[in-house]
Amino acid sequence: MKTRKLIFERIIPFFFMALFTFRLFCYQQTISGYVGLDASPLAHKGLTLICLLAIWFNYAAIFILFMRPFFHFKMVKNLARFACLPIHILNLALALPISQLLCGKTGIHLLSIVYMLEAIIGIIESLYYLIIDRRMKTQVGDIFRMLGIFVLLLIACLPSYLPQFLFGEAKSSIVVKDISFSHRILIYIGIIVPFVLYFTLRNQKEEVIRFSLIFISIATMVGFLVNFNYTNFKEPWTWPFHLCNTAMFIIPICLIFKCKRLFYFTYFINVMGALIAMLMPNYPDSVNLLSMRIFNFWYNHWIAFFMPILLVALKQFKRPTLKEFKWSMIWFFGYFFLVLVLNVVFSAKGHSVDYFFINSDYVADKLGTWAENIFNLSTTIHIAGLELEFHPLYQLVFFLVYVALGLGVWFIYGEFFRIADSHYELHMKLRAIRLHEYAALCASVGKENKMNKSVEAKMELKHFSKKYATSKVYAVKDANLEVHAGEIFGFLGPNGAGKSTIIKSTVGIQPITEGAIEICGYDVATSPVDAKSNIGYVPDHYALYEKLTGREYINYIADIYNVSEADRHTRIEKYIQIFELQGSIDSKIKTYSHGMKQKITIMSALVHNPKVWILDEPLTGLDPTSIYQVKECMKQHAAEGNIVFFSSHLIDIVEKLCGRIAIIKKGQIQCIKTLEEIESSGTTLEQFYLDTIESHEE
Amino acid sequence: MNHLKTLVVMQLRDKIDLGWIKNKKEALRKVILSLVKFLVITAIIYIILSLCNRFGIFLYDESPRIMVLVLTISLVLSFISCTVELMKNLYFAEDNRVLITLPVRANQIFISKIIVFYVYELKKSFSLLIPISLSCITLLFTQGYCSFWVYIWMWIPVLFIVALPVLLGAIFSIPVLYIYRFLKKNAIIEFIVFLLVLAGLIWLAVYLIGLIPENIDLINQWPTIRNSIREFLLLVEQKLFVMNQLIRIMIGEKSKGGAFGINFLTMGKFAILIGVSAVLFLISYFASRPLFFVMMAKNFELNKSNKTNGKNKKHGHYLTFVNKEFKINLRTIDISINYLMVYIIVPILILLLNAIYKAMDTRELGNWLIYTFNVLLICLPLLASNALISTYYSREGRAGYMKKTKPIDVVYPLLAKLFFNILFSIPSVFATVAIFGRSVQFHIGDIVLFGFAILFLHIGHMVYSATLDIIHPQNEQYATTGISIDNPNENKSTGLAFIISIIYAVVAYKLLSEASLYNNDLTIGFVKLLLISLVIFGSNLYMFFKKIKAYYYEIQG
Amino acid sequence: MKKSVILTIGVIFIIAIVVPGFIGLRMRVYNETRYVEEIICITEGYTKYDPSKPDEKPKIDQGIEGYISEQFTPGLKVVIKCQLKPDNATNQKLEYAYDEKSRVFSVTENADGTATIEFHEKGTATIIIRATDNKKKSIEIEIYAMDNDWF
Repeated sequence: MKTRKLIFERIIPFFFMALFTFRLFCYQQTISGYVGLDASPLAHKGLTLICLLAIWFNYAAIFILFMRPFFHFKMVKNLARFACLPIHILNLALALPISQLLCGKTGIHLLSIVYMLEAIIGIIESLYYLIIDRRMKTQVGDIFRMLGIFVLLLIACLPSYLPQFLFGEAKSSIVVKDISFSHRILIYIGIIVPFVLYFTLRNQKEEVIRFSLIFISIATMVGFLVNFNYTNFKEPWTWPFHLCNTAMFIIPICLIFKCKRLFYFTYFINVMGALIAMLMPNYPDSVNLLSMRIFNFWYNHWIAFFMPILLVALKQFKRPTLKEFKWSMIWFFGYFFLVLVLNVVFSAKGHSVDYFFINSDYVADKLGTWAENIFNLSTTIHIAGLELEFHPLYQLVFFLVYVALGLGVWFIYGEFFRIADSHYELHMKLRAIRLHEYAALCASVGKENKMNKSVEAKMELKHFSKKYATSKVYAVKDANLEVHAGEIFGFLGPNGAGKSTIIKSTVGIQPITEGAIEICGYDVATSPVDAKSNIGYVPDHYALYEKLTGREYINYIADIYNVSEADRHTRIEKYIQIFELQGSIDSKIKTYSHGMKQKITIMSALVHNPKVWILDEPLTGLDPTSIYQVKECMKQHAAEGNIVFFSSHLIDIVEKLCGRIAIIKKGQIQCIKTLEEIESSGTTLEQFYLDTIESHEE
Repeated sequence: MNHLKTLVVMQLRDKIDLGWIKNKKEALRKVILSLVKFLVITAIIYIILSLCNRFGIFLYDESPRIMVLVLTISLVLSFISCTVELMKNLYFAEDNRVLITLPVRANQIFISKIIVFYVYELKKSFSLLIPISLSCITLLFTQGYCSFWVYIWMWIPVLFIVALPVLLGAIFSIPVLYIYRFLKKNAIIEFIVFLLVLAGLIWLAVYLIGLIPENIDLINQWPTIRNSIREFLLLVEQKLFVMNQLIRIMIGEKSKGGAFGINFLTMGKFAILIGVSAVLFLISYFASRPLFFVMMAKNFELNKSNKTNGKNKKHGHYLTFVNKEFKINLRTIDISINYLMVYIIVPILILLLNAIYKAMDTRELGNWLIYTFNVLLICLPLLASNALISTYYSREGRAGYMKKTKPIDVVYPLLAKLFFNILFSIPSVFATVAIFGRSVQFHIGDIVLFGFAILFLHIGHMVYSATLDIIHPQNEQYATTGISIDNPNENKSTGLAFIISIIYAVVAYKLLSEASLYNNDLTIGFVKLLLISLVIFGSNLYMFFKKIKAYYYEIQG
Repeated sequence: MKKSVILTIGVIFIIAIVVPGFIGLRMRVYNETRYVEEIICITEGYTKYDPSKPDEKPKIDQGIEGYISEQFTPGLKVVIKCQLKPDNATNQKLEYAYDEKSRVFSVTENADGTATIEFHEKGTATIIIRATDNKKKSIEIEIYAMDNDWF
């Protein structure tokens, strides 16, 4: 088994890769010269069409087979066994006409032999995978998905001569420069495609992400290499050393071999260079939209532009720090020096070479006379009979500007990633909320039938726990409480015990972590509107709109609770009398004293006659008359069959007012007792409270 | 004397940041920075005046006319601001309640307030009046029209000149006070007066802009224009006798040779100036001071309304939020003024800009630049004003958290806050776009399309600013101090406003020029702009809802 | 709005005026003079000589463009009126050249740029009408003041 694996999954694929590489360079292509199907050297247009499609599909099939030994997820297995086999069979059958299209020679020759051999190996490999994966269950849906994915993979493998061969030339009036409409569309593609890839891949498995990215980078690299052949090896001045050309090789190498330091050179320098090139393409104005030149240019620059960013976004490489930036600058310096030397040496030997545009006035011309003046300051060095011309100042400025742009680009990347991170965080948060809501809904569905809602006042805490987002410790743990109609319930505890936490979670200011809180049968988390319509809340600090008058504010609250005009009029006038606010109810709240503001808060909490009235330390800072008035309100409200739930530090008042009390300490309810039980044990509430707090401290 | 000094320093600290005095390093830094700023302003003004002279707008010895004009404007503005500010500070200031309890004589409180204002006016004069004066004197000196002594002498009259608006303000604050109290008691009359004044100012602005002629051939008609400017300056010098004399006190009298020099006449005028200042001081002391004592006690009563028997009105469940927001915004001065200024000034700004453009004879590139800059200057102030929205929710302080306790989806009250703005921005946006459109002769359809494009862009950015406030609430700062000194949300909102406006203007340039070249019709360009605005609006609104769901409920109260 | 924001908007406003003012204006050629390209006589009765007619061709060859024919009466006055092309020519003043010593006619140049020819006897008046700009475009016309016997 190991031997079989070694042969079919290592030796043959490597031989396959070597053969393919040899095939790529072993002929001088003529296929790039045909424009329109009419120009085809083959007899029939139909045959030409099938041959072209076969060539195209062949690239995809070969890359799938290259990568199959290293990836083992379901989709790649399906692709290897179902998609590749028919394609290689087709290519074997059409090897001769395909070779004729590629190199212009008929009959049996080197290319046709290599092509057939390639197809045979492809068939062998596909059959191998078909056999070893035969036990894998595949449904019809999987096949359709596989076909869909295959179509998408084809896009990366498009040979640049295909559109012009198939469709001929586009309308000559279409100009693909100077930010014209078609130019913009091509730029938009370069921006939209990475977003599509990012959103499609970000939630996939690591293996799938890696496969997709390697496939795209290899396919586009080969698509770029198709322009070269064996003659180029002898002519180093034709080698692809332009900045964006280097990206085509660096990206797959870095991806496959995880070369971190080299990668960031493309990240900081190549992306920017590609963007500038996309905005100011260096092909002539008259270049045709469907021509090979366009496809070569745009595929090259799209990859150089978005692949590095996509690789970082999909976490194949980490977000760079200063160390990575330094390395990228070192690589950039190396590259700059290399192309500088190559440019001057090859130019001295009579070849017109200008890698990175640093040895000609191409860029200076676009910038203006000042740049041209700097460019014109040149130095010539004579070495080994060669005249090497440098433009030192221009080249130095060029280098420094690129370094500065790299820094600027780093900042822009930072911003984009920050935005992407915040969107992702938002997405995850919303997902968590949806799950939480769904769970709560499921839990409450069963209970809905049993509940007798909206008749009796009731307040229940069921295993309620609360943890703040920034804390690891629970602020309230497993609180259980029941308050019934007609009760005045006191809530006691030291500062920071969790009284306000429970109250704020009940009224909806804070979300619930665990457990449930129910008001008159309505769960505060799942039916917040219904629950809150039964609550009147008086906070510990009055929270009023100071620019409104007291009357306006209370009417505003009454509107929210849908209180009828008659009811609100009765209640408001009643409370104005009770709290003696006749002279100031129509003045702005800004002019009120502390006591008056508290009274307005109380009135606004009672205007809708809530079944559950919750007060958080309501008597703090009030004068004795006001305290008396509030206490009377509380008694009256409870006497009408409602609940009054309040927390306070004033034990005397709690003792006189409440029927039952609870004591909370460090987030846990220590006890719930009636006042009678406490008195019958022979102690005062104050002593009982102190004993409870101290005993639990021990 | 010590008491007076303490009072002055205490009140000065409130008006101007004096924290740096104690720290030597900080003090040195502050002094050097201020000096540099002062010298830079003076240098820039000197360069501008020299250029004006080169173009023949005035001769070197006519520089004092510029000083007269600047002094007039500066003194008039100072007088108005001093009158209003003194009225508020003498009679309505909150700190009066504290000051009156201190062991000082009431006279000293009054004098300290006057001194504080005087110091503040002196500080303000270093921003414009003194730099311009120095630049003019430098112009005269370099051409030999005055001696070096003028540089030293001018500081002495300046001390008295700056005091004039303060003293006049103290006197005139009395009638202004009575008018103010009358208006405060009669809200309807106050409103009508306000509307009339506003309408008057708008009418004046539109009239002045309308005076700008079309197609000024600046180069060929330059001699005529230049002569008009010189005549105007001469008129200024002749009609504004008092200001002219004040300037003469500063730089001296013009001799037969044309040079300015300080002589006995100058000294005589200076003595008159001192006398007038003294008289004004005495009048304000004897007239304003008694009133000051009376008003200090009485004026807090104004805030209390004696209204009773208000009605309990019911509004709709959702409309109540809009109603509340309207009431609060209209009663919050800085919000109302901010919006009034933006929504009135932007159309006038665009009217002025286009009046100036009409005076130019532009070629095609010029026309495109006109469109671009119009788009930029329409978007920029509108979007920058949304910075206030990024403080809306936080301004409620703790009352903001209470929304979560109410039986209603929080989206409604949160959105209701934006209604006020959206409503008032609609007529302003369309008026501005209509002004621009008519100036450059767009069709009605194009104007409407463009109006909607700007409106949706504006609302989109508004919603974004509101989202910022939801994600990073500053409720606690507003709850405790009432203000937030450097709200990061405001800065982010303003920053994005600039970025969006610039990009939108560039995109508008590209789309409109393309539409004109290829389709001979700008409509398609406007349609594309509208689509872009709709996308911005839609995406921001979507994010607003999503972020409320994700973050709002977690904001701890 | 913060003061810095208002200041920035103010600066942008000034740039918005300066930039189109510097690079957006139509260029004017200051010494551009529009020369008179054509002088057309619009006096009633003026007829241009037709080169296709054998009688009239010699006149054209001599440089005479057209003629006016009037019945001679003592004190006959003919007003020569001309139209200039282009009509916004910089210098629209015309001058009239004629034989000043002639006893047949005399010419008075009028303030409005026209000329009045007064015939004292029967005869022909040859007038050259010339533009006074640098190009000096001119036409030559004849005015006949004749008896009926001649036709």
